[in-house]
Amino acid sequence: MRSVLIISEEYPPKEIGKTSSITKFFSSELLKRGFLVSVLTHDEFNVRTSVEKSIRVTRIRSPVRTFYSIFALETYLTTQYVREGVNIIAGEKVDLIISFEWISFLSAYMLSSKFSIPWVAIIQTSERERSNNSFSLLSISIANIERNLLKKADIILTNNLRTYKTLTNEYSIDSRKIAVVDLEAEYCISFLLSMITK
Amino acid sequence: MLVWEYPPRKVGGLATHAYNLSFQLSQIGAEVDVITTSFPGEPTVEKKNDKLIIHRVETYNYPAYDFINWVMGMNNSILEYTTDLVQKRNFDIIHAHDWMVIPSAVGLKYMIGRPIVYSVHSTEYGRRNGIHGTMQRLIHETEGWGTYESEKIVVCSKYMKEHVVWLFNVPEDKLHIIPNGITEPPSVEVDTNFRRKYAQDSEKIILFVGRIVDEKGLNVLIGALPYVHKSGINAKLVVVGDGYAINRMKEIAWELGIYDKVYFTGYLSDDELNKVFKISDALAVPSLYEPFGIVALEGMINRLPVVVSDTGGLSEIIEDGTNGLKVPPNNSEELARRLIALLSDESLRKRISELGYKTAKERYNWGEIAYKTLEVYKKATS
Repeated sequence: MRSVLIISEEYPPKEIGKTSSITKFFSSELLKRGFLVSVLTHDEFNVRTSVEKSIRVTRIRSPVRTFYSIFALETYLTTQYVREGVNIIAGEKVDLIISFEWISFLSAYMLSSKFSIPWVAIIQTSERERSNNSFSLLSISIANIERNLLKKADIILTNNLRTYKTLTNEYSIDSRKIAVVDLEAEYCISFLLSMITK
Repeated sequence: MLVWEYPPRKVGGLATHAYNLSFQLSQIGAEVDVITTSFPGEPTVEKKNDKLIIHRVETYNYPAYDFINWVMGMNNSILEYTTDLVQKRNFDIIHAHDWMVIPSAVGLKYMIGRPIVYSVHSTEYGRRNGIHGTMQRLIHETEGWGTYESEKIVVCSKYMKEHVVWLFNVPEDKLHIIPNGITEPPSVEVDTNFRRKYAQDSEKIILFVGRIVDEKGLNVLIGALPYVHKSGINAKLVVVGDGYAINRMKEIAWELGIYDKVYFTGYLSDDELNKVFKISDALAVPSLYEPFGIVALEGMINRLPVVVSDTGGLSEIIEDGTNGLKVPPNNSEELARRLIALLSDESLRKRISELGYKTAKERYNWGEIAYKTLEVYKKATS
């Protein structure tokens, strides 16, 4: 296994929550272990592909500039993640796709399915927890994206038991493919790679 | 073929268009998979014939608090479904109908590396006479993005071609004009009792069929009715359809003192509508904006004389005084003048009806349209 594609809504310098630093950690650690690392991320104001500390970072923007809702943004970004993902996969043999949080799950699933590449989904909190079980229509939609697509992921990593319980109890996801790990600890990467090898 | 509505889900004319096109394409050798939205009681996968399969994708996984979010949920559902489908089947072309399926079409395009043919049936700018709000801007941008991502664009009239070139700055050679088609309705028997559901024996029936929205110009037609009455013709206006402007239209009829002369039927079944065409004396299409004007063809194929606004696609279908009558848009008095001419001259009515029928039958048949569409597919893949 030599090459990994990471899809994440956040990557430094864009930092809204913890996702940015975890994505950076994963990409750096995989690079240290000899992987060719490509990161696909979203930045409306800095669209470009650059090599940053030996990591290829492609920043995309929505093809439709009007912001209407996070759900609409996810749909538009999916098309762009797929477009760039296909380009990256065409250029080098990608062995693993890692995607962070619900907004990148559909594109990761599409790429993983099309090219038969294993897909690892990383989720820190589920929509159920973020919304405190609000059951608003938007929240149900996002939760359903998590529920439907995580069932199709090969491995799911989370960093807390609460999310693990939501995934297994409420989303009915097979517990055997979920691991609760510290997402910023070195052992997490070794653990992930051992799971993939298995 | 990606289309959000397909029979039995019928909201506008798109469902009928998609049905006829997909069916006729399958008859001339194309293998067609239609991806559309689920409908209660209908199977997820339905094989219509050896070459036509309908896939109804469950959209209720993504409940929405408004129209745009519903559309986005639908696109998510379609992408999820088609990701599995393309593992089993190969496709040469992605045919997208209107902006609502553009995100799916583009996602698929990049995933399977096949070109998009985009049928632009109308534009948000045209429907609303400009772009006035956030929701409209998003739709408008999505339409523009669709024209950019497509290899070929299909429009239904010369008017629409010019409009799309102007609005989205699209190279002209990317666009192909293929008109909409019409099928001859099954013959039906109608008797006096049926007619009496809609009008008195002494009343002539002027028919309007369409969504009751501003761009259809129903207010212009209601405004013409008092002039028709003043000429001594006892006429009833039968309005078939529904839409956001219906209450305003009722108010206009009330204010003009002709509320008893306008009958708002709401939506009618195909069978009922077919019969209403048979009992009517004239069809009015007073649209202010009309990319094509399929309703005029529906009237013509039913041998009903039509009076249309001289605008958009209607201008191209109708040759004034030959297969129909044309009036300047948004002019009640002129519309009344032409309706009076039709309703008071039986030989004119007959002549126009026959020539209208001939035009509809010969120039707008689905077999020809499917063949032209296949040619566009070939160009898109070459």
